[in-house]
Amino acid sequence: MSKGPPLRLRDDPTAGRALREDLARASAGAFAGYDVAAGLAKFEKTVGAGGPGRGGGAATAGGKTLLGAALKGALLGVAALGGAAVIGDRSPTPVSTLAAPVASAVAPAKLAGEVRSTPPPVAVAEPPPTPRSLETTRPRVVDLPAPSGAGSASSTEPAPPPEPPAVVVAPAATPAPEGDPLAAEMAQLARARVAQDRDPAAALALTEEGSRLFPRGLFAQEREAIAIVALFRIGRVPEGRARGQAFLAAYPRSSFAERVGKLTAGGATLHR
Amino acid sequence: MDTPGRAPDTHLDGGALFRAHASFAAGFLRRLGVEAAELDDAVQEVFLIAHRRGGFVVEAAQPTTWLAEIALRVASGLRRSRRRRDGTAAAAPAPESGATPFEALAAAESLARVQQALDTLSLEHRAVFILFEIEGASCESIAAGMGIPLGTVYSRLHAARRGFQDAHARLADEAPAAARPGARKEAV
Repeated sequence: MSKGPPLRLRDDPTAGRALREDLARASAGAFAGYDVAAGLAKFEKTVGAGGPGRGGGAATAGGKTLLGAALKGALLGVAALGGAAVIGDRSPTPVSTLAAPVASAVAPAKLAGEVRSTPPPVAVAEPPPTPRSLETTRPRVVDLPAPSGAGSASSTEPAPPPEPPAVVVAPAATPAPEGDPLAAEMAQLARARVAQDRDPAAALALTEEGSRLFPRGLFAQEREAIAIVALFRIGRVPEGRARGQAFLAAYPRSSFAERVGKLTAGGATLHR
Repeated sequence: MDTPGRAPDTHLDGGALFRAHASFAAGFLRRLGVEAAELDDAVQEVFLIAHRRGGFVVEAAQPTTWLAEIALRVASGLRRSRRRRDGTAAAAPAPESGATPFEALAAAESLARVQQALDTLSLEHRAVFILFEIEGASCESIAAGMGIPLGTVYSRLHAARRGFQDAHARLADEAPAAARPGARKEAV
């Protein structure tokens, strides 16, 4: 019987060097080709405009009926699911991965009207939510050999390349928003995001500017998270901790809460 | 039936999911073969389905593997419609910025090879391979998120690795020596 998680190919010395290097590169860093702020604005507009609401309770990890509907039962029947999942060690970190330019995201309008009461634009069969009573079923672990040798699944991420100072974003003052305030806020926030890894002081200044320009803005939460990370990065730990605690009190369920909580609790263990 | 003792902050609504995992979903969709022009709608679709399901409750799976199951369905639908249309293949995801030009080139070539090798796999095998080998998810989380038994994850991963390694070896053989990653030190 095989024990332990399979070894990832990029950590497997028996795999070819080129393959390991390619996979390590593919694994390094988050995908930066999507403008999260623009996408989020579009998503919230759709949902807020009467988009599809909750379909009868929160979905959970069980979901045994979901894939069955999607894949027409190929390979699967009603296999039991669940189990003690270990968090994927590469879940995107909300604050540090949002570095795409705003200008690239154009929001096609067609989706907003379609999703209110009709199926999605792509043909995806959406099964009903999984009954909670089925979700707690534990997995039947099939005794199959692991694909590779048993060993640690931990991976060594390649060190990020040195950061050229030439691309540091200067905290230049953003003119007062004109026209679409949402677009202006997104553009301003995008500058803070871009700056946060390379120049946290500039990122902090941009978040403060954003708070001034958009006191009732949509992205205050994200702006504050960027500011907190920046404060830790530039060594203003007590202030960062205080604002982190206030953030956690104000947004305990925020998707940034985990990272802010770690910073606030641990202090200086920053990683990109 | 409610789950006893579930903490209220273990629920992620659509907006929170989007903030935290849109980048993951976008990258995953691109690796599944979704074209750049389709990406925005596809990401929206993933999170609207997640929203319709009432968001995510942290239990057995991780949000990423749970979203991956939705993304796989969306990508599958797009692939069917694209096949009807023209059958073009997706380009590799863009490499990260911030590297030297040579590093960026080497990274782009790596990503292109990985994407080309991924493109030889079925969507189901590709999804498991991406989640395990690239996103670093555990097999247990993949099983829970995608709604398949752990043994199926192992068998798909085994088959996907075999296919990926074969395809990658062919692609590496075809690549000119100067373009391989090992040669990059000369120019830095």
